[in-house]
Amino acid sequence: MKKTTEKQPARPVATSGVKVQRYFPGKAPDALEHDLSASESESDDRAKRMSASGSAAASAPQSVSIASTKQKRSEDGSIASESDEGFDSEVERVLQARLRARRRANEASSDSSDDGEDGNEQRITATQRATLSKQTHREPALSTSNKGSVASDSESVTTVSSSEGSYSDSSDSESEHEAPLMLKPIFVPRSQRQAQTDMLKDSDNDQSSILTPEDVAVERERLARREESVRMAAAEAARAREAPEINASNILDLDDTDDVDIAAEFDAWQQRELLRVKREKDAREAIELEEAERERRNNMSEGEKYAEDMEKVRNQRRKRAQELESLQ
Amino acid sequence: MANRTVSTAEAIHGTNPQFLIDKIFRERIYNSRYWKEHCFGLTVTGVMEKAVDLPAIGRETSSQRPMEFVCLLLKLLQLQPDRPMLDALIDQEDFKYLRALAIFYFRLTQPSLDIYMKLEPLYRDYRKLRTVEQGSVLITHVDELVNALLTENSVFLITLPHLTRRMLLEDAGEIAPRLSPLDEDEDEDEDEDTSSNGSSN
Repeated sequence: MKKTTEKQPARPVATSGVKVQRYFPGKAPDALEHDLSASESESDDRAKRMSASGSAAASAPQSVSIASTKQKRSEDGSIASESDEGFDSEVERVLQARLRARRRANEASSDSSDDGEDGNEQRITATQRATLSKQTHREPALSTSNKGSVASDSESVTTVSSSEGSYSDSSDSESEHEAPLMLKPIFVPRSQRQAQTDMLKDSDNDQSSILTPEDVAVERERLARREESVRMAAAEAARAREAPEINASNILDLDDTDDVDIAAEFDAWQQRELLRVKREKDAREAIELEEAERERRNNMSEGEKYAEDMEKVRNQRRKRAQELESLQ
Repeated sequence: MANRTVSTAEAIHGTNPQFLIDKIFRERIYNSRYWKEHCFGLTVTGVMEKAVDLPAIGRETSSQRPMEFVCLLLKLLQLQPDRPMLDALIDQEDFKYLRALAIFYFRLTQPSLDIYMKLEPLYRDYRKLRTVEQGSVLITHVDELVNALLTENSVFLITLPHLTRRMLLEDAGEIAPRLSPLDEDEDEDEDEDTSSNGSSN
């Protein structure tokens, strides 16, 4: 519906006066370079972020990895989509974190303590980010519907937004997400997420290499394929053993001539027939019993019925108690 | 063209008789070699001739290939032989596999009362049948097939149309309680019984 009222003049709000850079897809981030070279200290970053005019989700050509990792972190961007300032600050923080991670990766440090510290720092970052993200306008619906902010596929948005809860809870996962080299994020289904973090955790201990998500995925795929082939071979063997192949010759091998042993055949038939007759008789009796019971109850008064039911329940309980006793 | 039900056919249980076999399996039969090679343009007589040479009854062989039995069954559903013909196929005692095929078709297409009346006497027939069941070949008997058709919900994974319970028909007075061959032949000579089932195929 078209607005019929006159356009109101802008009312002063808290954020007015702040220079806001709107994002739209394809826009080159002009202040990004400047921000990336920032120092590692938290406060500095914070200050920078507050005054930053850098635009948000850049599909910056110069750092595809940054942008792509930001896709992974799109929760931050998408959560704060309501207020651009918060959004920007989130993004800046993410970029800083990424940069630190990348530097760390490049150094290929063997000093575990450093990593630990950085990890701590990152954990702090994570929790801080989490709390901040909690403060900022947080709507899962928005995050999934947020289209423009990050040039990401809906999958990664869903991934991140669904793992939103885990972020604030388990800051441990932070380091794994940030430590690897920045590559295109691969969607990890919920069932395999834990496995992935476990794999990364294990590899962190030996420090020999940094596991990228791709490596993890490849490894898992290889394992899965190996398992699959083993399973198939086993199934094939089992099947061959138990159910030999049926083809025309197999079938005709079986002899179906009658009157080979008349007496035996007749006996077998008699057995079968007896079973059938018995089964029919039992079914008939059961129905007759049911009918008789129904008739009887019909003719009883309400009180009599109640008394009978109680008696039955009492008997059942007694029997059960006896059974338990006998077991002990 | 080859897979249409004959135009003079009546609906069975409310539908095209061929639909008594489920779509997936039906398609597999249509695509099978035996169907394309042997069942094209077949008449009831042709079906009879082929049924006489049936090696076994059953649904499919190990490679999920539909067996000749079900192919011919589907062909019968397509052709819809008339009742006298069907009765003749069941009554004949020379060829047990043909009888088995006709019995199956009867169970699929005829009303409940007729099924009881026609198939229960066949409990006497204890001739052997090669049967392919769940991936293995066995020997079963005609009376076992009849029993399955009268008591189970599906045979060879073909869902059987609903059969009214015998008790209901008994209560309605349309049929007498079943008299087993064991009971009724108590007075008769046993040899008399076996002689009618003697001939093998």
